[in-house]
Amino acid sequence: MNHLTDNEWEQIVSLYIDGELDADEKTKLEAYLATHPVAAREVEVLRTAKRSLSSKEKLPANDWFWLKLSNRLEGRFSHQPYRHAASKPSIAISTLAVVTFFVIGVIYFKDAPMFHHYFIEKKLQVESVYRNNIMTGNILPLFSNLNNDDVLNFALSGSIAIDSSNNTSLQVKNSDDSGSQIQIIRNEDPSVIPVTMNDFADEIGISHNQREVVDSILGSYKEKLQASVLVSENDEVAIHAELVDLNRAMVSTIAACLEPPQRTRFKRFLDHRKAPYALVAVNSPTVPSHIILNKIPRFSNSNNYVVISPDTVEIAEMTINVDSIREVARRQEMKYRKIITERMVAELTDRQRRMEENFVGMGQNRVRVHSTSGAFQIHFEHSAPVGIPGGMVEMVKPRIPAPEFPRVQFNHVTVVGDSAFSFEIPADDQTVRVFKRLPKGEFRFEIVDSMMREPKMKLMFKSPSAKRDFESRLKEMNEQDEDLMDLDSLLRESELTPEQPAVKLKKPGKESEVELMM
Amino acid sequence: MAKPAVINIINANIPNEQKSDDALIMLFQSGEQEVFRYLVERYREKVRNVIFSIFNDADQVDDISQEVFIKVFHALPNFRFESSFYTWVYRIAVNKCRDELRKKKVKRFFSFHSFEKTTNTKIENLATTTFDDENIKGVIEESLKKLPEKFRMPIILKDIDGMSYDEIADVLDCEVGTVKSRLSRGRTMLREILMPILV
Repeated sequence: MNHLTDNEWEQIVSLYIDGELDADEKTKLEAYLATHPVAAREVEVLRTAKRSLSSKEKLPANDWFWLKLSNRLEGRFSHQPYRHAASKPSIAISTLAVVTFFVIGVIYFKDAPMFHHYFIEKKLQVESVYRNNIMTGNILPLFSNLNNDDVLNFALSGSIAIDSSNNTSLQVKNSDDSGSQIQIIRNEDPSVIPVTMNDFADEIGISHNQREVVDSILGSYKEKLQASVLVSENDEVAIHAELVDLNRAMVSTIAACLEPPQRTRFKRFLDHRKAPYALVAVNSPTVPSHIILNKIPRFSNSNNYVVISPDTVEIAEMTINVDSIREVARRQEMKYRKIITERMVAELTDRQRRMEENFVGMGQNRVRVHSTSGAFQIHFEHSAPVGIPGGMVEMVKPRIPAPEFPRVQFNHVTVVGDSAFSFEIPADDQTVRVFKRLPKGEFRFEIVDSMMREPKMKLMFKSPSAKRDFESRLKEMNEQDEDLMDLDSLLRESELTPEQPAVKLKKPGKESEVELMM
Repeated sequence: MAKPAVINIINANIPNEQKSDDALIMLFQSGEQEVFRYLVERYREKVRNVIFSIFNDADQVDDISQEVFIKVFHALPNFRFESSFYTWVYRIAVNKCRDELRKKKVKRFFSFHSFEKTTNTKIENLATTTFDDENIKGVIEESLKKLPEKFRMPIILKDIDGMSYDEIADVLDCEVGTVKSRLSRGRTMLREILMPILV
């Protein structure tokens, strides 16, 4: 090696660290290095450099790359595809800036008009910064690749998977008295088996034509669903206020096109799956398909979105071009759902944890955004009804979560004849007045206090068979010589047996009423 | 070189994402421009990372990568299958980076002193610290940035992107011998910077 020029030596070392020297040259070089520590150190430095460079960290993948590129290739530099109008800024930082300017104004500016002018100017600047930075960059529908089965499942359950592998889902909940909420949560119960259109059609027994109508209904609402949840390149999620009520509208519209017997089956279908809405108008006239399909509103009446970004929560008014959404959805096959669940949701929830709770106003409605670990929740003080297509009857109502049921224990039951019960209840101030035959074959018994004042609880049997079933259960319990029987567990048992009537609880005023419905 | 016989591949009943680069290019050249996305998806991360290796600045990567693929899109109708698509895209990416570096050089002319000072200070600071793997990585990457571009580029393509000499020659549009000599010269320069720090 000693006879080599510097250039030749450099080249041999370079080939050596690339593993390109032939065996003979390699042996010679290694023998030389073994006896020349300075040269060996030089070679070792280069090996370290090569090792270090070859393990250089890769950039995180950019899953927005193609979308951005395709927009540029299609000459879409100059417009943002969806966002059109501006927002109504009402943000914490804006408020803080305003307060700061106010204080500065009071201290330093005695001249009111000058202060006013300065104040307005600065306020507009702050507002403008936020207005111009909401949902900038590319905006995409979170649910771009939906099929009708996905939409049907959302209608029936109020839940839609964002990333099925991660079990992250978006859920909506709506009730008449406690407002409504949208949640993005992890760890959805994986045991829930999705329903397909075929399951639905078989179980309800719909005709081929009706199936086409239901498919069209789902197709129409699919567009609304796609336009309801948007994500931006800058880690923002925009959720349309109407999303909370979309599944109610869907179930009601589907029910409207069914015949009454089919509705009875549909009702059972919903009950069996504990769907968030129960069918109530089973016997309403069937609405012709052309009326239904013509009246599903394609565009929303309101353009209000709740926009959650890593920095703020906004109510923004945005006009969505549904056709563009559909076009993007068609082209869009990127796996950005994964990004949403793994990165965006994590960032947003982290931010929400830091800020605890965030309130913004949407007209008369107050919207609260709240986060727990790995999830966030948007709560609307009042629901924002989508509205059932014009001229159609509202066919569903929210299933009310079971209220705290007053536990009633009694130690003696007598069944008297066909229509009366006798109870003894150990509590000092309670006794039971039994039975009341109502018109149309209904029966009721009541629990009242010892002064026989207003009933505290009523049980109503909608039919003689329901009453007979209840009686036989009471008899069985008597025969087992139980000292204490628990009325609400008895009711729960009834609820748990699918063949038995479901228990439905209502709270009219201060009293509780229990209906056993067939 | 004549076009390879890829007609049978084009017509094969396999999804676009599984088709070869050449088959996709043939489809593109026959008017199916939508297949371009499959080529982009296949190479976008490689291109982004080579640009990142050259600039070491994540903020610039996506803009430059987009420019590269726009250029690829416009040049693809004239692609003559004389090299692999992979090395051809790399060549466009490297040339684009060279353009950007040239622009930077002009800017640097006006603030040369501060640039040099910053770079040297970074390395000197590292020279006084205790080395762990991360520090060594930092020193090596900073040292690599000090090399002239014609010596730096082969090292990036060889050591970071793992290309063969032939591929590097194709990308840099030079002879394999030139690649070898630039690599050895570049490594010598790198060693001269690193020896006082690491040994």
